[in-house]
Amino acid sequence: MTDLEQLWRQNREGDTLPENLMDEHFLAGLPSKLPLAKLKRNLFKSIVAAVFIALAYAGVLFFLHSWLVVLGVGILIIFNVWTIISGWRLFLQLPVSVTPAHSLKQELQYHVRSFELWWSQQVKVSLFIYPVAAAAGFIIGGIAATGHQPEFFLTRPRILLFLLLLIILLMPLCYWLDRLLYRHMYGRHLAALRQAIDELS
Amino acid sequence: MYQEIVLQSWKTYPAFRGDAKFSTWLYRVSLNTIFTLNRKVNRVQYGGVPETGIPGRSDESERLYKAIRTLPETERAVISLHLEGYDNREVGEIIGITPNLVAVKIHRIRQQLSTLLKDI
Repeated sequence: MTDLEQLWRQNREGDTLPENLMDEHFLAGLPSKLPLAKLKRNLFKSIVAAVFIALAYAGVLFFLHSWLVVLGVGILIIFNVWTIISGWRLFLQLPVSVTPAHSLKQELQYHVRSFELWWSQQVKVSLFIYPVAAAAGFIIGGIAATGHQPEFFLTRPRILLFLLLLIILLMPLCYWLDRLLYRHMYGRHLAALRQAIDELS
Repeated sequence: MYQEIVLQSWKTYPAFRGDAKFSTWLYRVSLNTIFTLNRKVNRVQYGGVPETGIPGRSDESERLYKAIRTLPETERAVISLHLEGYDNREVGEIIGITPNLVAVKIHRIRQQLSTLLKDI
């Protein structure tokens, strides 16, 4: 008796795994270890988080009385919605599996392009959303701590200057940290993909 | 890696239209999966006498396969397809390069392998 036959006989009654493997929906749910598949799962989690954050910002709006802060939070909500929509579009574009219709070189190029698309979206988020969120947090924190209205802070040149410096500092810092994380997580893999493409060219 | 290839094969099988050979389709899925997985580069350095080989393989075949494993992965893919009996056009379609480039690569790989086989 071959190993496969032994294994099949050991399969207990009621074990639905072999039948489940014939089901497309079951297969679609099995996690792939391809980096692009992992990226797609992480992107989905980010989109869900962005939805909750946007809802939280919208909830906070009802408690704000200063038009300046409302404006800032409103800008944040708009950016968040833009992130959600563009993130969702990218999510739909990313493949769930390899594409046999592609040649090897096409598949490699497709993966590299997908990563680059995701990265370009991350850059926009890191350059706009994080600093604006930090500035809004700075003002809201000041209001909560001191009880003063935002105009109190924004009419003080020193505080304005500090806020401006904070945003100027945070924009490259957020971009640099994002880039560092991106290189750490995907740098080696992308280098291998690009090297294979070069070898095939 | 094997598990991922099997998973990708299962997931993409519904899209298999049968207009190419099944082996060609499976080669495409396998190659595309292997090259897009995040893994360490799998090149082997051999020094000295090789140990016991795979049953059923002659010593010469074993030496050839060991020599192939020392090649860069893209060249390994090209020569493996060639050894499986695919012509230059078919190899080119699977890999994504022109048949002429396939011929040039195979010629270079053969030269490399003959040098390597002297050392193994």
